[in-house]
Amino acid sequence: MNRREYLKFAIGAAVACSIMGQSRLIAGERPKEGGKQKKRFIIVFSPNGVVPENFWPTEQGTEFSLPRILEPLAPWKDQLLVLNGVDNKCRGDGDDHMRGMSCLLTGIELYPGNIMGGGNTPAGWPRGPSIDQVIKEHLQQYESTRTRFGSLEFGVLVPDRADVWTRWVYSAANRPVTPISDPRRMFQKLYGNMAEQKHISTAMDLASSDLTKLLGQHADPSFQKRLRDHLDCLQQNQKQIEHQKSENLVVPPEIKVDVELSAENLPEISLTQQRLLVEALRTDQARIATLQYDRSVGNLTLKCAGVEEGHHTLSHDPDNKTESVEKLTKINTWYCQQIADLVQLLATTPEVDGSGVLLDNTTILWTNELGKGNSHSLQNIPMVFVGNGLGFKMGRSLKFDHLAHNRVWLSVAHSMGVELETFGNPKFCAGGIVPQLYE
Amino acid sequence: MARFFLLICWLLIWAQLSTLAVATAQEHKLESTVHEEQDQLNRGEERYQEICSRCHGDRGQGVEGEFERALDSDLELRELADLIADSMPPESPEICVGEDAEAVAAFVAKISGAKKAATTFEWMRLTNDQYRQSIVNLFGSGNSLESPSSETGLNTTIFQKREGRGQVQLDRKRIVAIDFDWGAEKPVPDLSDEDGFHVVWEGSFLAPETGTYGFQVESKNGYRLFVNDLVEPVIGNGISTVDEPVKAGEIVLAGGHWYSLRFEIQTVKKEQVAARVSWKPPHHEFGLFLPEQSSTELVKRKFVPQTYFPADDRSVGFARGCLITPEWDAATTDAALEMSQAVADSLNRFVKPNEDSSKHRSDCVAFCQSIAKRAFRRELSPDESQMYVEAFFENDESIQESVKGSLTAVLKSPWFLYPGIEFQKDRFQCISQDLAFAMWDSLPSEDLLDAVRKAQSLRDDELLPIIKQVVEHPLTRAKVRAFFVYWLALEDAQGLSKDPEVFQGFGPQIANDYQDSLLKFVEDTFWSEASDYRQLLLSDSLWVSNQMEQFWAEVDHEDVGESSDTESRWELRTEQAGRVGILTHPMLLAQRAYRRNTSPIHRGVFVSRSLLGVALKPPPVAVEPLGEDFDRDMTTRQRVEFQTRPENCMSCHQVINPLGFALEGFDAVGRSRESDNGKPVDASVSIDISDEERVSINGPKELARYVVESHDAHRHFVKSLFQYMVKQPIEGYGDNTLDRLTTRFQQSDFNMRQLVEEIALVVAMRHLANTQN
Repeated sequence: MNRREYLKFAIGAAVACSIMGQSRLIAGERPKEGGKQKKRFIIVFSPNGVVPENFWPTEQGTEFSLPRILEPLAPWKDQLLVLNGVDNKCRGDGDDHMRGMSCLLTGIELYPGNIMGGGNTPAGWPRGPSIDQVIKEHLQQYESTRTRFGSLEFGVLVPDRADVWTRWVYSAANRPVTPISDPRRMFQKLYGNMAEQKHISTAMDLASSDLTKLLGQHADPSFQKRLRDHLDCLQQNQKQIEHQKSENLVVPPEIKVDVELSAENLPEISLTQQRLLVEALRTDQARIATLQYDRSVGNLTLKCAGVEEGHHTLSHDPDNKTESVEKLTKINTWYCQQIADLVQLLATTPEVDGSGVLLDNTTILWTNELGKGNSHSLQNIPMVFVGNGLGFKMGRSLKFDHLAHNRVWLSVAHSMGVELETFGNPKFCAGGIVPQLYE
Repeated sequence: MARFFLLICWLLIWAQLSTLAVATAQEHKLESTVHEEQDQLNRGEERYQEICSRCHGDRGQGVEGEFERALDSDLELRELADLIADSMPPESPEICVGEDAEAVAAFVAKISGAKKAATTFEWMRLTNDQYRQSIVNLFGSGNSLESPSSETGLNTTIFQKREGRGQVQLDRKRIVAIDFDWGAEKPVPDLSDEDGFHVVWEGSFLAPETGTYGFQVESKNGYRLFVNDLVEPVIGNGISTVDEPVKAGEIVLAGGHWYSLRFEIQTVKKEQVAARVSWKPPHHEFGLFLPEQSSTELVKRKFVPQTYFPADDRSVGFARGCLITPEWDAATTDAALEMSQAVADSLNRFVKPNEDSSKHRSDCVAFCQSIAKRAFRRELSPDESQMYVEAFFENDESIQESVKGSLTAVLKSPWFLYPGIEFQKDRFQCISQDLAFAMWDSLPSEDLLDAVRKAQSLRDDELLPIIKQVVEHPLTRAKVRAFFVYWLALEDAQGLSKDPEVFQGFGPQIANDYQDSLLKFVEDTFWSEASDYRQLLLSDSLWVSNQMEQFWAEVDHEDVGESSDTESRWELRTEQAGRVGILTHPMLLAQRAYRRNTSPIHRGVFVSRSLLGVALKPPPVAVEPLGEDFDRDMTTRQRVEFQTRPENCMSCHQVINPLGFALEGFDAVGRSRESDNGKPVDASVSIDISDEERVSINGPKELARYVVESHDAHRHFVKSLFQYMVKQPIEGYGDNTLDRLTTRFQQSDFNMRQLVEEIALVVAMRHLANTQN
């Protein structure tokens, strides 16, 4: 199956699942509850900064053209909001990649610690939670917005070690949340008990039939008692499992998750994770999600983008090395294509009640730990919103003058129904939400 | 006679399993058993109405002015019979003894709802510990257990620079425990100030028992602690957290196996570096990680189920697999999934990866077949192999999923979960499985089965060398230790604390050391050449740790700290004044004492119940022990004597009190003492041996001698050990087995190891009837 076929299959499966789902009641199936629209928010990360001249639209306002990197999003241009001039102002311990990553969603400095980066002082974990987790906690408090998981943390080839370069989601200070980079593990988290049902049912059936056979073998009263008790317990548990299945109507989708975790399989892993993500949102298992490609300082080789060198190595090359700039542009464009694919999936997946498609109620933010790779700049970090827009006025390119990214998080939280006076370091919150986003 | 008949029936059944005679013999057996029981009950009722009803009422309801409470005994039938024979009716116990007492006991049991102790072989599932141990062995190295190099301690390796950036090894040395504070000092002189350093401590340790082990790290640096699994840390993630100086985690381990431990710290330039790694083995308090047995060598990961299992039934004293509940069934499902997932995730360790995918598939099929064969302790029929293994590989699931499905089914199967199932097994397979479960709490190894097969005619002299080897196995050692934990009630040792006003310096470390000292002593005695049970009671030696020494010498009362970084923290002291074996062991004495005062009653109950095997009734009413405030002039002994004076107390306390008073020369933390409450200690007592005979005992030495010479104590020890090992009532193995084993035990100069071998032989003997037919 090639990539396009795969995508078609993915969409087909999603639709098929939704039809299956329609005949059953799914908890929280109504996208609009109590007059309030169901809101979902997805944050996507790709590393090592962007190539500014191929990324930022030159115009501001509603009339703007898409530079090369953003081209894959052309079909969704009227649902796009590009924020230029947003800075991650967190300073203190840790190098720029570390703060770029771990202060990105937290908006607060790192503790002093023992992790030494490429410069500056060593650092530990951030001093506060990330915005997605704050919103999630809020949503989980209320019956109308509570979902099974609240939030889901997806990874794509995120290295299996915990540090400030590999983690960006924090449930609290010092509490990194590990993204799930293996689609098999994510499938298990989402449908584990149900996917394992087949194994459990087979094992239980075999055990029952062997117990029945054994019962005929021996008249000893204690033997009979134990085995009969055992059969009763098995039947009781089998019934309970059946009951659970009928109560919990999230049907495991037909998504093939058996993908080897290697850089060569990056496109397949990406697609599989996106499909799992969209299906989980469709069945309302969470309303907040993060999707993390690689890590800060990630050095993946993106052969899928036609590049043979490691991403981070390339990102250090000077601006006048046009060959490298071209390769970085290809890499960034490939990442943008992933965002476009995700939007496409959301746009073609109907809500379970048939009231529209997922994209109507979902906003994606694509961001990065750096503004620019070779300068390690935390200024002008990429912020591209796509989708329904959380009440933001979409279809625009905006330019700010060193806007603290904490204020963007305050706005996102506000739109998601969480009224925060400050988030992260309060000194970056002066001015509160960003009114321009809504105007 | 009746039991002999039962035994014959039993043997008959086993001899003719495959024939139609089974059913006939079975019915015959059941029928005759029912008749005998009815006869006994009739006789019991007759004698009861004649002798007992005057005080207890015609249906055991009690009689006003006599014995008012309704009969409600929770004693085992045999204990109840003994109690009746010994003490009922109180004015002339001799009129209801022997078969009369047994019959009355049976009737009383019937009317009072008393538990009839199981006296025949009963079908059981695996106990929880057996389940864990079997899984570890099923996915372990198979035949032999690892025993890493004898170099003890942990290896410390110090690297310049940090992980992944070209480390330079600067130093390697062996240490005993991880407990240091280097401050900002460099641990080795060659270390440059340019960058931080990376230190790794690694080695392995023997988990002495099956259970949950807690681990704890105190450090502000970035660290990771791995136990068993060197991929997923139990604690930490390598990043320092200033606000969390102590972190803890826990892991279930199976006893008798070695587990790797790795602790690593990463530092940065000029960082203050300090760490301390503690652990908490089952029924201990947290203390410095200083395992009794350690090695600098790493070992392979063991597959230990972490799934929670509901506790086993212990109503007859020892843990048995008789509770079949939905929760247990659900736990077996969870554990089966947990283990099959873990194995599927590490499939390369079990099945060599192969480029050729169909070859790899068939290798995986063979692997699952071999696991099923070991789990079921027999060959699989082609049908079974199809259902339990091949069927899972016949769809388009990934290899991992197929393996997972197959293993889940195998681990859920009754063929795995019931240790005693014998159908479709030959006698060699039956013998090896029964031996393995009795001695190791685990599946038989292939070596064991091979050895048993070679003993063609299965005579005693052929089996004994095999049994000797089985008994020498590390898993038998772990089980023997677990027996002592049970026998000495150390499972309840956790939380032992004393009033700091009275016993300044008695803290978790002393409690741990006391416990370890006692376990070292009993294990040493058991595994010594003579393996002499009498030495458990008479030995004048005692393991003393530095901390115990300090505490007893009342040195540095401010803070009796934890052990120092020395290997010589234990010393075996002999000729300890007034000490005799376990009776005067500080752990035993401190555990059976209150926070400030001794408790002669608890000590006496231990000696009578656990050592002498005397059946005691629970107190007729709940009694709050008199505190020292009751009368400030009284000694503890005087208070107990005062409180237990009433006649209904004395029926038991005349047995209990003297046994406890004899130990009054030791205070509530087990230290020797001359006086109690300012008065000289009186440890002289007299004990009724029979109506005519009393024996005077002064102090623990004479008490120990008394216990050592007690036939009842010998018998009780044999019974306790047998039932703990086999998890079946000893009567189920023949009516005279207990007497025969007791005699053999006495004749062997009370050799405990030989007793275990005899027990193993009895277990194997159950199948010899098969052979002879």
